[in-house]
Amino acid sequence: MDQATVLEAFRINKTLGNKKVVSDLSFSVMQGDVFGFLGPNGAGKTTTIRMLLGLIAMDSGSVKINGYDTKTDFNRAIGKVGAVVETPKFYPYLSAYHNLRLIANLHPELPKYRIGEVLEIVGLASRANDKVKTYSLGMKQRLGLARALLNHPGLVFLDEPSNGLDPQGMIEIREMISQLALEQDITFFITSHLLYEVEQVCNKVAILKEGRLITQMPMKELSASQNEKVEIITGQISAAIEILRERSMVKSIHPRAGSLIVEIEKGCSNQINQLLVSQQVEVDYLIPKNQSLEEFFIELTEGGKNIA
Amino acid sequence: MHKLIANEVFKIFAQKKIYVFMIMIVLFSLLPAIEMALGSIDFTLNGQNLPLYMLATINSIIPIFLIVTLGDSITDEHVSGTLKLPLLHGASRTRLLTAKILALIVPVTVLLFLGMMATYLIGALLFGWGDQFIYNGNVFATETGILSTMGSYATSILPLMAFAAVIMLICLQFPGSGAAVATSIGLLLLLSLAGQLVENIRPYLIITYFHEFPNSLFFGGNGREITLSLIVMFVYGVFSYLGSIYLFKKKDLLY
Repeated sequence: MDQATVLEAFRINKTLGNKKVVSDLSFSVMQGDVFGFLGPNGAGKTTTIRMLLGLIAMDSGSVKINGYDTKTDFNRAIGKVGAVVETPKFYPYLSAYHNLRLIANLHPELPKYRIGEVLEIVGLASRANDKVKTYSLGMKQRLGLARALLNHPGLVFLDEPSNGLDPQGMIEIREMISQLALEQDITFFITSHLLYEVEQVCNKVAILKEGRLITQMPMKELSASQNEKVEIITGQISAAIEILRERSMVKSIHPRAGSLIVEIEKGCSNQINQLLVSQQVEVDYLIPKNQSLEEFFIELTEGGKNIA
Repeated sequence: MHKLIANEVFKIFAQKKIYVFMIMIVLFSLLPAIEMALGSIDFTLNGQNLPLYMLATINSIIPIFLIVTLGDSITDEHVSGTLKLPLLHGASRTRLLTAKILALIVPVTVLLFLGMMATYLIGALLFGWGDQFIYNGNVFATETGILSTMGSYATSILPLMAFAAVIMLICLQFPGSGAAVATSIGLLLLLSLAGQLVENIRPYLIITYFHEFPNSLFFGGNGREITLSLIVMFVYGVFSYLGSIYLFKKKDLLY
């Protein structure tokens, strides 16, 4: 079955002061995606989310959510959207229940029990009547997610959802996102500086640098590359480089302290090992390395030192 | 729209500020007793006319309440990031801002009602109910006095809401509620000082009508005075409201 496009940004631009924050940004998110939106600090991720949600005006370009243009049909576009932008914000003098009640009031179609339902989903039902000012940051993140889920959204924007969470909390949020995407067919648009997290939870990723989209691809394409990487740990770095640099199976060499990261054709690691050993280079370890999102991200946003 | 207004009213009454202002109004209602004891009141004061005598005082407290509340519900909410929440759930910017100002009618009415009841009670207890309603040297029947008092309190809402629109416009300009509140109080003092120094500009100052508008309506104001007061309140209120809507629609919500 064809996936429907739930979010489409087309050539959006934004300048704040004299700085071009977002430049000609276009991307699309399909139904059911858990879409990771990555970029270094100041890349324009949060500004993009704010433009998508109509909180700040675009200089040019257009955004469609569920087929509705946010400029001309904002209410219908935003109708089935949930969002947590930056750290979730609440009225601290009100309880979690009343914070959600204020939002539920704006959705008259919601049954009264919906607040209890979402609090149950995020594990805060027992603290529903506590004032939010007594909540930890982790609890506020959960409550933010509860608020985003309140109106049965088809698309949820989460801006750095793991901010302030301890490792256990991060795992729980990740599991919650995966479960909601799977069981309730919710599409997620997630920004995060935690690349590992995006790698764990997202099926697609877009990388932003200085307001420009560098790449957009399914996560599985990252691991389906024609090349693989191995880390060669040896005390003879220079000799190893000399031997490897002329070989056609070697695509790139990245020297590190005490080791080399070598990008080679898939399935050639055994040959590499034999080659080095036959040339009297002692190989302490040869460790296969899947190209992680982090490496890919650094490669794209900073560039790497290539020898070969 | 009514749900947005209900939300705003709920938030106002969920905070301590309004209760502090309620206490202030009750405490200020006791001031005439001190003035009387000091001998600085040279006219008849009783339970019937104390509420009207105190209306000017109450109407100088409520503008402060409006400044503090709008600083909180607009500037503070913007900076703390909660102003955007209704916008993410289908509320338009125009409706949100309109709801914020309309919601103020409820606490203002409550404060005025409390002030009126407190002064009736304190006046009757401290000075006795009295036989007549005496105001500015004129004597009225008790029923007329009560109706005029109630009408004066009720119609005070109009100039106060026009003033609230001005404050809303100011609050949208500042990135912090401290600056917004300080500027608004500064404006209130400036207008008050300007009115005292230059008699001719008094009819064009909104603060003049906190007291003068009900006074004109119920105690012998002529048609020209009433018309001018309505025009001044309309100009302050409507232009500030429209200016606020215009600004808010263009504002980037960066928090």
